[in-house]
Amino acid sequence: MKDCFDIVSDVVSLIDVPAVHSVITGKIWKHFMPGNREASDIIVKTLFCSNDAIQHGIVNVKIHCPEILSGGQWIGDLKAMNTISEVLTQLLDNRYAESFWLDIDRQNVSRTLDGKSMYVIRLHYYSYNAEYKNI
Amino acid sequence: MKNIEDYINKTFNEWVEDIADTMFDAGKIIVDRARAQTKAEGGFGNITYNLRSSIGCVVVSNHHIKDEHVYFPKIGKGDEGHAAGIAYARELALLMDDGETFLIFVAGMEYASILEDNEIDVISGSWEKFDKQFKALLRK
Repeated sequence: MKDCFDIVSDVVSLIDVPAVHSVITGKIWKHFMPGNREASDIIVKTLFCSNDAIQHGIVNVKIHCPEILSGGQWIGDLKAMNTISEVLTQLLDNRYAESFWLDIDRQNVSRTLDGKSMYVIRLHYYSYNAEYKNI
Repeated sequence: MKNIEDYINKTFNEWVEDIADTMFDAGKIIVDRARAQTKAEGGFGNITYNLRSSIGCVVVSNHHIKDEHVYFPKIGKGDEGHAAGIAYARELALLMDDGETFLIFVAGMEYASILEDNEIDVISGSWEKFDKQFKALLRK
């Protein structure tokens, strides 16, 4: 069975590549990210994972970019988010790896709980559960 | 010949009704599960009761939602959420209806998706359990 740590590591293994690092100024974070970052970062977290014969999980890959001042207001840097999301989409959509496969559920501009803009790529993660016993 | 045709149609419609009832029963279980999930379990808090009240399900069968196939029990002070949930489920039913029998499971408050974007489980984790519940009830 894969746990949330394995799932996040699997997803990060696909995006921890030069093509992604060339479009972000920060890092790829697993599970948690320090607050008040002044760089564009990617954070990968899970919403849940099941424990069935075919394990299913929902994974959020989130793009955080420093907000920009426009018309006197701080708003999300959509252009930077778009550049990063285009690279990530190519790497994450319909990916079949050795022990798991991924599918993009939806993508949207959203907000953090403290009101900052972010871009969310929500993934379905599937994996064959070798330890599953239905007896 | 006509009698046989009538018999087949009647039996088939009864079977579809049975499936719709079972689907609704499984839906009720996952609605209760989603509503019962606490913050410590990865769910959301309970400040206004609106989000919790907006979680529910309906079954659409034969272009119709029967009154007994609507499950949005009221809780606490969440009247706004309760109304939003039912309205959203009915709107989706209207958009998706193609004559098939299906279940709609929703959280009607708009901020539900923002919570899930921040890894706070509202309905996705409970929906994951639907297949298992449905199959278990079908076997009974």
